[in-house]
Amino acid sequence: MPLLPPRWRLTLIVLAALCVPIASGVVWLFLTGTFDRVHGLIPVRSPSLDNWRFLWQSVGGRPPVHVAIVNSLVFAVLVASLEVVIASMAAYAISRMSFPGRRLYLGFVLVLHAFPAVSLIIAIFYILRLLGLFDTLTGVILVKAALELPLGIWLMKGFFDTLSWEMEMAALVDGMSRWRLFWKVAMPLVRPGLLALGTFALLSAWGEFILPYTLIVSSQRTLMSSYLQTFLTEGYSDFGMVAAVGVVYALPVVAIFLVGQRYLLNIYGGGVKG
Amino acid sequence: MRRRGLVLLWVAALLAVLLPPAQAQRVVVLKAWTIGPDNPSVTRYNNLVGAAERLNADLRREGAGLQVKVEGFFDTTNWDSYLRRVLLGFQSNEGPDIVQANGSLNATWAEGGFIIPLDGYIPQYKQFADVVPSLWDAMKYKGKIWAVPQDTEARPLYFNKVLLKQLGWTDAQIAALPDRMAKGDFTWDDVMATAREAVQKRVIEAGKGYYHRPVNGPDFIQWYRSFGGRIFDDATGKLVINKAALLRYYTWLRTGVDAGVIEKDRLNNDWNRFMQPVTDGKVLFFSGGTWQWAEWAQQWVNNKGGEEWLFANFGYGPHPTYVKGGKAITMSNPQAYFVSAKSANKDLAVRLLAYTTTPEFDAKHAVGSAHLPVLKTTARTINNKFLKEVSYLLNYTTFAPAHPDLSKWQDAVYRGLSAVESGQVAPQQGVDLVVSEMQRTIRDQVIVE
Amino acid sequence: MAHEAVLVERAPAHPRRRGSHYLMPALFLTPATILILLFFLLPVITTIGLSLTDISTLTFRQPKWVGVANYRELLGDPFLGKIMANTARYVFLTLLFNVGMGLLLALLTTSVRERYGGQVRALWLLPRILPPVVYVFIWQGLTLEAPFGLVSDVLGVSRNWISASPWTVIILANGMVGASFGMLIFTSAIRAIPPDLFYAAAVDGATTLQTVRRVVLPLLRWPIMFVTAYQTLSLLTSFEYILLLTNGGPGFYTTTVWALHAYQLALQNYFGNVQFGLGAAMAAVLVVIGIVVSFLYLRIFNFRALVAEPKVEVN
Repeated sequence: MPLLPPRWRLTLIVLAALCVPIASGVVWLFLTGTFDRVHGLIPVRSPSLDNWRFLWQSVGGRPPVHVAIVNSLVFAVLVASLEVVIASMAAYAISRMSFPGRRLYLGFVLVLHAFPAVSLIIAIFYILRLLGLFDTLTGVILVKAALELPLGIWLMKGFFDTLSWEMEMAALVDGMSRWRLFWKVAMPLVRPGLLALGTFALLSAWGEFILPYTLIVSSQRTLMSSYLQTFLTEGYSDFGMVAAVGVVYALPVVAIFLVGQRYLLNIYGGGVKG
Repeated sequence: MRRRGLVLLWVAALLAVLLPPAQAQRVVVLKAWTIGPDNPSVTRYNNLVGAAERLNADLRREGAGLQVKVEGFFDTTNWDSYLRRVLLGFQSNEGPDIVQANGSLNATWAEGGFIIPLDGYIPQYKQFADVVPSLWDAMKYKGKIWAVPQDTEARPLYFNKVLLKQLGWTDAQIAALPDRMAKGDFTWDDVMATAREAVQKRVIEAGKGYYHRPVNGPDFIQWYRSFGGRIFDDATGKLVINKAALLRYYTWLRTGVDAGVIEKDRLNNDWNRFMQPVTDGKVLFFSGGTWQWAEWAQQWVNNKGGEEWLFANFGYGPHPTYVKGGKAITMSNPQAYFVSAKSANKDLAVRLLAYTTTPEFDAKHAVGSAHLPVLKTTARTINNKFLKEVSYLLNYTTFAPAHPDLSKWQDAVYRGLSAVESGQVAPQQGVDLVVSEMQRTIRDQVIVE
Repeated sequence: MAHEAVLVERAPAHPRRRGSHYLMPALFLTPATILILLFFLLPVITTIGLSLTDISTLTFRQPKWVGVANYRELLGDPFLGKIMANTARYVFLTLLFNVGMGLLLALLTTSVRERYGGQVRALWLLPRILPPVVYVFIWQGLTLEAPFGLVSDVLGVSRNWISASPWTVIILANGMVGASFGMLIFTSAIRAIPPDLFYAAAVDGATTLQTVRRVVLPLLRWPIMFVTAYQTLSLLTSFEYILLLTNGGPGFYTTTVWALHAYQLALQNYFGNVQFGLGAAMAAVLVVIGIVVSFLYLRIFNFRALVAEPKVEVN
């Protein structure tokens, strides 16, 4: 609000209080990973490197952690790239081109946006098996990219809508093809949207749990989410080591978060100025 | 010039004589999927790797021109996700060659066409002759043997000696307890009465009188049997559900919950909520398995003194029955190695299993994970205090019947149990629900009595 | 020159141009269309199809057609009512938290300097972007018994809070993830309110609370409705965090919601004895609800309104 209310300091204190739970959670994770056990938020043992041994040896018959990390990286990067490219292409067409069925297509995408994709997981499992893509990274990448498409198209359409017509006209008159226009002129102009979508898709894919859990079974193709989860299910929970794994897993997220907050905050407000 | 050529010739000749003949060594990969989920049982996988080394040495000696490499994993998560992977693996072309799982799955998997019978192979390897005969019977379905026994165990009723002492029991009484359980002198009612007393006298907290496993599993069959139920009809080969026995069991559990002896939400939570209070010495009676002894010693109480602490605090005996003088009972759920029907290397896989079924590996697994050995030699020569002390339990042991619909029986009983224990339904209602579910899913393959 | 170009572009197409008029959009739309067909349309049909068979572990390769038998079995399940009650409770209470907290955060963070407000919003985005497995693990760690669990230490009562009050934990955990959605949308909407309205209210001597009630909230009516409707549908079908936190327990179907039960039937069984067809039937119900409600959204909410200037109405 443009005018700060007189008791804004009180508001700040309330906000700080609201932030305590989340902040303590993250702090707890880092402390437990380093100190093995904490009482509340107070470390009780000296820092031990033992918790981090999963980094250089296989723990309890699991695949080595670098397999999971590499798979997760490949997965996240490919999903984000596919997402950005495919969603932008579709959004550009819907936003900037006229073709029969345009309104229908847009309406369809908007319906899908609200549709709960996760309820389809049982059928997707069956379909991937039929396609021979079950238990492959390719399969999960395609599924994840597909399920994020409605959000991506909606977001990018908002950004494309804000581009001026004149500039496009000028380029077309000069003889540029639509395709080149898209890549050389339009895309660079919607960089904030691309960054928002790309960052969001990257993070969403990095953390994805239920899809790989259901659709991947071999340990060579395991992702970090499943790898961490194997520590949590049956058997002894070595809290210190699990926290260490959690720190390694969450670190890229926290890093991107600190660097790219701005982009993320754009994710639901695509195209809105101010 | 010519001299150099001659030297080269000499060197080549020398090398040709000195170097061993370059044999085309084919490497056959055998995919083996194994599970604990308890961590100490990692020998189920490592033994296969070790056996492969022995096998490779013999293969080299035989000049077979091939070597075996074992690839796969040891799952430490839970049975749900492991079996899901296995079932999907059986149906894909990249599935495993060898799968380790409950021997009682032989009926279901045989009917599904996922595994091969091994009768033809067994006489070929002398290692198999050393296996305890009753275990081969446990692997049989429709007259054929479907898997190689990997280990067995017993499922005792543990009790906390320190808490009993606090309750007022003398050392002599505590020492005599396992015997009384075995003779049928200490029944389920006595367990309830003792636990009640302990809660009333505040020796233990409410809900910690009796613990059982928090998730589904084979154990429920033995408890149902201990209340007088039978599960299999030899004459017809069908499953049986005895309503009176089930009612007795459900009523006993419900009485326990109402009396504050058993936790209302004992089921459907995680193993940590079983292991932590038990190893903190807070639980009076708990049903478990022998392998948990190794889990506790190595992971939960290793900084309290390991096995010594366990011997000082825990006692064990077969599960009691519901009537005085009845026969005590326990259960063995042997793990087994199956060979996939889609495997391209069946002969080699069975040979590998033969090399794994030796006293060396058997003992390593038994001692390391507190499972019981499968070979007669190992049982004779093993020198582990705990294993020696629990081996008598095998005299009271029972096995799960081999029937393809067994898991549906178990699911129904488990669901009814959950509903009764949590207070959702009364015991009689629970029994009715179980019966109707069985009649719906197992249809004519179940006898209701 | 530019005008002529516009006229040429917008005139009825020249036959050759008409052909290429469809080619270009097709090129741009094809990849998205293929993915949507494969992983949205096809699964919808497949879900309904599978629900009409008896497909399970053993019959995976030869499922039999059984018509509506699975649905009849569902209706005959004595515990279906409990699962439906759980689902209603989950959706209602989490929604309350999501919208309430989202609104509170939006209002509060826009009432302080943007520097601080932005930081708080960013922090509240963290639960959403943290990998669910890590997020749940943190919850598990904080809710342990004393002396390890922070919650037990602070409250002075030592419990494993996930076992002791599973619903509270589930609602809070899901709520903290869900609140960020409303928070961001409401913040945008508040930012889009013309400053003149605030100045006018200030001149009229309105207190902060009055300004919020009379100026801000009415203009947030549509965003609030949108977030409520959208998140209702999404909560109806979400189960991932519940799966990780309690898997429907502790006890008997204590925290099992419809979507989770469907997943468990189809994909989780101790003996591998999954009932795929039955799970698909439960999922099919959700799918049909999802389609119907999504179409309703399309009619009631003009999504464009969110990305355009909001209507300026002051009562």
